[in-house]
Amino acid sequence: MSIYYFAIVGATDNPIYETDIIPSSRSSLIDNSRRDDHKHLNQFIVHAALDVVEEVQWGTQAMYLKSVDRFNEQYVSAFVTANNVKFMLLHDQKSEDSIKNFFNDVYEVYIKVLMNPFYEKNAPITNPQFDNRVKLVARRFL
Amino acid sequence: MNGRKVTVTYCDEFGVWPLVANDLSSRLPLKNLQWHPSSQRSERFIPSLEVDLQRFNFEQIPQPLLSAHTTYLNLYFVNCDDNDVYKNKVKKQIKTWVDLIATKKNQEWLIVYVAGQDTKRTNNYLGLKTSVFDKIRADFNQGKRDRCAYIRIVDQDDPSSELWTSFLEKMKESILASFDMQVLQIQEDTRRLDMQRHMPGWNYCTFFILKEGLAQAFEIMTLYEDALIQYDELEASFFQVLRDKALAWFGHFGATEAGDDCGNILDFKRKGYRDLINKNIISVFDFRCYLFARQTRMLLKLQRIIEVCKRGQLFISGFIPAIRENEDVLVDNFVESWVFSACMNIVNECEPFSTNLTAADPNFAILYSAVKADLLLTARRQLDKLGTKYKHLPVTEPFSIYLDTKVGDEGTKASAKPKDPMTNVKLLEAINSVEAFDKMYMALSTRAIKSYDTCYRPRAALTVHGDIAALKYTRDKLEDAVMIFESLIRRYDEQDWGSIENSLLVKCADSQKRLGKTDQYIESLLTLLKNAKCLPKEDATRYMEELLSNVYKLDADIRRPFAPMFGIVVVSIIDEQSAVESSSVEICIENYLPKSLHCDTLCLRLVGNDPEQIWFDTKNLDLAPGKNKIYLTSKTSTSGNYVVEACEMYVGKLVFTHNFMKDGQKKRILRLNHDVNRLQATVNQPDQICLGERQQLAVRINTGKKSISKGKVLLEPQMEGFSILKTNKVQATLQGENDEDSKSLKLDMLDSGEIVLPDCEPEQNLELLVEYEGSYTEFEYRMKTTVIYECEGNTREFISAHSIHVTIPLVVTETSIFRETCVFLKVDVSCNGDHPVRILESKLIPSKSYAVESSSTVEQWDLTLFPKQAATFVYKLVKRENVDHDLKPKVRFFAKYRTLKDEVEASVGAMLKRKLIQHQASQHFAYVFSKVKEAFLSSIDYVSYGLTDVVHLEDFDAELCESFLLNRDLKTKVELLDLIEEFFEEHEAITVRTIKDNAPKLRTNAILFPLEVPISKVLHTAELVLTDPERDLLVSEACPCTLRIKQSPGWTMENNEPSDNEFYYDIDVDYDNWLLSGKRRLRFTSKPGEVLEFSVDLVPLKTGNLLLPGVRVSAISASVSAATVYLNSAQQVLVRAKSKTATFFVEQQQRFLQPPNTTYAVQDIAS
Repeated sequence: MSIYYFAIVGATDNPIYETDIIPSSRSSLIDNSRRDDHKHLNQFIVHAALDVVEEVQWGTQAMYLKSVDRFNEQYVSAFVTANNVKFMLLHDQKSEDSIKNFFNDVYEVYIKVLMNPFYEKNAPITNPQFDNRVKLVARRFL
Repeated sequence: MNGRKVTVTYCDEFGVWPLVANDLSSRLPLKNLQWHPSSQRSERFIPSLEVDLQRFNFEQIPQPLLSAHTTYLNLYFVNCDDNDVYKNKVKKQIKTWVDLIATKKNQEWLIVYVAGQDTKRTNNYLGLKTSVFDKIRADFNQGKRDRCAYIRIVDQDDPSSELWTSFLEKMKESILASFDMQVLQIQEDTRRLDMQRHMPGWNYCTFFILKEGLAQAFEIMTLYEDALIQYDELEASFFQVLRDKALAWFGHFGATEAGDDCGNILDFKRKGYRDLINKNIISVFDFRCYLFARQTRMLLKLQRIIEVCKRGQLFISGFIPAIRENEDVLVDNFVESWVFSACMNIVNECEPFSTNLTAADPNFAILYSAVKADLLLTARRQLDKLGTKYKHLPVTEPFSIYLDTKVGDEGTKASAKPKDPMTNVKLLEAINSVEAFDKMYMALSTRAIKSYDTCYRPRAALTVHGDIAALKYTRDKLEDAVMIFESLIRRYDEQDWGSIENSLLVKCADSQKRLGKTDQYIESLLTLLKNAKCLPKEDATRYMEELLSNVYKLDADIRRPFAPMFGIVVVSIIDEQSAVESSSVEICIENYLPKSLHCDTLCLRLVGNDPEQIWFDTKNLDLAPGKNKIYLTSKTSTSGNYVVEACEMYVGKLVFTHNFMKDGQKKRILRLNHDVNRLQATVNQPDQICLGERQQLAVRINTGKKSISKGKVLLEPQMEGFSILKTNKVQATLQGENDEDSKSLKLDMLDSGEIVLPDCEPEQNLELLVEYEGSYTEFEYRMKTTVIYECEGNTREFISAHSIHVTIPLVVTETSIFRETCVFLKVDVSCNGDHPVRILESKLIPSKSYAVESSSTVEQWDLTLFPKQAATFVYKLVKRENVDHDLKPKVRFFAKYRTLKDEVEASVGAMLKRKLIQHQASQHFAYVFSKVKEAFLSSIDYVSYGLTDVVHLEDFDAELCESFLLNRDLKTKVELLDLIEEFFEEHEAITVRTIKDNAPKLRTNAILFPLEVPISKVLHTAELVLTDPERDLLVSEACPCTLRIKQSPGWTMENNEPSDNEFYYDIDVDYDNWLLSGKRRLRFTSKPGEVLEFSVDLVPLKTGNLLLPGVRVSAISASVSAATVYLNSAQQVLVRAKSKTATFFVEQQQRFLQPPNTTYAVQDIAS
C-alpha cells in the first residue's frame, strides 16, 4: 500500500491543499474505503510532524528538510517555503533525490498560484490546474 | 566491574611491593594521557585512565582467544643497594623477566628501582657511575627509551614526588607505546582481512571478531568515540554483506529462544554473543541485538543519551519488518512484546543519565524529551495493537490506525496454529486484566504527553491526548472524554484540520448525547456538519437529522457563522412594482448540508444614514440543499444608500450569523428607494406662505395602496436652531383620490412630538401644517420624518430624511402716499435672486384700519418678472370709520406666483415620471429626478426661457449620470441610464407649450406680504395763492403771494407733545426762473385744523409757462413723520413779456408737450 500523501500547510498551520498520490501502477489495487481511513491517519501523522518541522527548519538553510519524522514504516519529508508554508509528504520509500525534485517542482507550481492576484495567502488552494500539475509532478518523480 | 581496564603487571621479587603499593595506587588513575597515533589519526587526549594492577605471573597462561588483550605494561620492582649482589643475582633475575616479556606481543616493560631512605640516586664518584640504579640503566636501556624509573619508599618529602611524577610519566609513555603498537597491528590485520572479502571462504564473523578487538582496545583506553566508529563501521559492513546476500553464516533468523521477546536489548552479555559469533552460529536477531547493545554502550559511556534514543528508535522500527517476515516461527505477539520491551529498556536505561544532564544543560531536556516521547509512544502503540487484539479496545480509530493491514488474515492463521505466549510480564498482565491495561495505557500516554510538552511539540501531544480521550470514551467515562475532546477540538478547529477534527467529534458528539448535554451536543454536531465535506454522505445526513431533532431543545443561544455550512450572497434589490409587492432584497443562500433546514427567521441588516439600520427579513422558510433564492422584505420604507452589514438566521435558539463587513471584503452597497406601493410622506414649504407669521412646513402623506390605521408622524429636525413647535393641535387636510371632497381636520400632537394620524383609506392624501422655528438666514433645513403605522395587521415604518428648501422668490417694497381723505399704497414687486417669476395674481387684503377703496380691476395676471425688474401695483386705501377687528392689523399684499424654475422642473419631472412608468421603473423616480435636477437642471438659463419660451436642456453626460446610479445592480443601472439618455435626446428643447401641456395642474405658490401703512400722520396741505389771480404776470414784476398751510385733522394723532407741533416750511425756488422775496424757510407751530398764512413775493425771471416753486412742510422733531400735500404741485403760470410782440416757433413749443404716459413704463423697464 504505497500511497503518498501530500499536504501543503499554510503559515497559520492550516492545511491548504491535500492530496493522495497513488502511483498509477498500483491504483487499481487500493480500494476506496481504505483510502478514507488513511486520509484521517495521514492528517494525524502530518499534523504531528509539524512539531518536528518547526524544530528543524531553524537549524538549516535548505528549504528541503529531508525526512523529519517517521511513523511505523512511513516517513514524513518536509519542505519549507520562504513564507513559512510547509510542504509535507508522507511516503514509505526513502529516496531523497526524487522527493527533493518533487518538492522543488511543486514549489514552482505553488509560486505560480501565489502570483495569482486573487489568491489570498494561506487560503485553501482549490485551483484544479494546480491539482493536476501536482499530480503530474508526482507521477514524474515518485 | 569487568576486565575492560588497562592491566599493568608488577613483578616483585624483592618484597618492596607492600611498601610502594599504597603510594602507587594513591596516584592512580593516570591523568592526562596524550596519544599521538602513528597512523594518520589526529591526536587523542585521554583525561583519565584506570589501571588494573596485577601481580606478574611467570607461568605463561595461554590467553583466551576471544578476550581482549589488556596487558600493556609490566613493572619490575627492584630494591638492591649492593653492587655485588646486583651483579651476581639481581641482574640475572631482571634479565629473565625482560626476556619473558619480550616473548609477549606488544607489551612494554619498566624496571622500577625502589630506593631506601638513605640510598642516593647516583653515586657520581670521580665520574664513575657506581650506584645500582645506574648499573641497571646501563644494562637494560636500549635505544633512546629510558625503561628505568627510580622511586623512594615511604617518602613524604616534596622533592621525592618529583621522582614519582617521572615514574608515572614513564608508565604513561609505555602504556601508550604498547597501545599504539597494538592498534597498528590490528588495523593492519583488519585491512588485510577486509581485502579478502570477496574471496571464497571469507567469514564475516572472523572479520567481526577481529575488528571488534580494535574497538575493545579503544574502549579499554576509554576512547569510546573511536570504539563507536569501529562498531558503526561494522554495522555498515554488516548491511553491505546483507545486501550482497552473502549471509551464509547466519543460518537462521533466530529470536526463538525463550525470553527473546522481552530481553534487555541493551545487555550485551545476555547471551554469550562473542562466543556464538566466534563459533559461527549466531542468529541474525542475536547479532543485531549485540551490535546495537555495544553501540549503545559506547554512547552511554559518552553520555550521548539523545543519540541512544534516536538510534534505538531507528533500530527498532528498522528491525520490525525483518522480524515480521519471520513471525510464523516466533512466539505469539513477538513483535509487540519485543518493541515494547526494547523501547522501555532504552528509556529506563537513559532515565538515570538524563537527570544529571538536564541539570547541566536545559537544552538537553528538550532534545531528550523529544526522542524519549517517541519511544514511549512507540511502546504505547504496541498496547493499542494488543488491546485491539484481545478486545480491550474496539477495532476503531484511533486504536486501529496502528494495526497493519495484514491483521485480518493473521488472526485466522493464529487461531489455526496456537503459539507459545510472549513472555513480557507486564504485557501479559495487561492482556489479562482490563484495569492493568488501562493503567498502563494511561501511564505511558501521560508520560509521553509530559515529554512532548517539555520538548515543545504540542501537536504530537495533542494526538496522544486524543488517544486518551478515545480510551475514556471506550470505557464509558464520558465526562472525562468530553472534557478532553472539547479542548482538543478547539485546537484542531483553529487550523482547519477537518478530518482529524471530525474523527474526534464523532466520539465527542456521541458522548455528549449520551450525557444529555444538548447544548454541547448541538455545538459538536454543528462543527461536524461544518466539515461535512470530510464526512461520508450518510453520516452527514444522520448528523443533520440529529441536529434538526435536537435544535429546539436548546437552553441557550448558540451563534455560529454561516460558513462553511452555508454560503450567502446578496444578489440585488428588487423594487419593481410588477415583480414584487414591496421592495425586497434578493439573497441567495447555498445550503451545503445534505438535508433541507427549516429556519424560523432570516434577516439581513443594512446600515446607512437615517435610519442607521434597516432589517429585511422573512419568516418560516425551508432551505433546501443547494442554492436557495430568498426574498426579504422590510417593514421600513426608506431611501438612500445602504451597506449590507450582517445576516442572521434563526433556527430555534441556534443563530447563524454572517458579517459582510469583515476586513478585505468589498462593501456591498444597495440603493434603496421608498416603496411606491406603501405610504409615503414628503415635507415641503407650504403652498401659501405668510410672511411675518409663524413659518410652517407642509407634511404631505400619501397612504399608498393600502388603508392604514394607528399612524403616527414624528418629525425630527436634524439641524441646530431648527425646531418643530409643540402645539396641541395640528391643522390638516384630508383629500381623497378625487380632488373634490377635501376635508379639514385637527390632529393631536402628543407630548413626544408625534402627530396622531387618522385612519385613512387607500390613495388618500393628507396634508399637515406644522409650525417651526428656524433662523431666517437659513434656506435649507434638514429633517427626518418617521411615520409608523399599521397596515393589514403589520406594523410598518416610513423613514425619510428630507432637506427642505425655504425660499421666497419675491421681494416687495411699499410706499404710501397720503392725501386728505385717502392713502395711495404703491407696491413694488421684484425678484429675489436670479430666477424669473411669473406673477399670476395680485391683490391687497384690507386690514382692520384700512379698507381698499379702489384697485386695478385686473387681478389675474400672467406677468413674467425678470431679475432687476420691478412690477408696481397701486391701491387706494381709505381709513375705516369703525375699526374692523376681524382683520389683521396690517394690510397684506397677496401674490400668486410660479417661478420658471418650478415650472420647468415640474413638467420635466412629470415627463420623466411618465417615461419611467412606461418602463416599470417608477420606483426610481424620486431618486433619479433629484439627481437629474442637481446634475442637469441647475444650469438652465431661465431668463432666456422667460424671454424665448424655450428651454434648452444641457447635453446628457453619461458619466455623471452613471456616477449616481453606481449602487444599483447592473441591469437596473443600464436600464435607467438608457432611459435617462433617451429622455434627454427626446427633450433637447422644450417649449412653454409642452411644459404647460405636460403639467396642466402646475402648482402655484402664494405669498402674503404684510405691509406697513401708517395709521396716523401729520399731514399739511400747502397752497400758494396768488393775491391777484386775474392779473397777468409780467417778467421781473413782483407778484405777491400767500402761502397757506393747513394741518389736516383726519390723520392726526390724539396725544401730542408741544414739541411735536413745531414744523417748518421750505420753498423750493428755482432761481433760474424765480426770485423769492420773503421767508424761504420758516419755523412755525401748527395744530390740527389750524390754517396759517405766510406772505411772500415771487418775481418771475423768464417768460412763458413757469412752474410754481414747490413747497414742503417738515417736522422739527425726527419722531414725527410729516407729509405735505402741495396743491400747486406742477402748476404753471403764464408770464408775459413786457413788450407786446413776440415770435413763437412751433417746433420749440412741442418740447413742452407732456410726454405720453406709456414712455414712463418703458423707462422703468430699461432701468
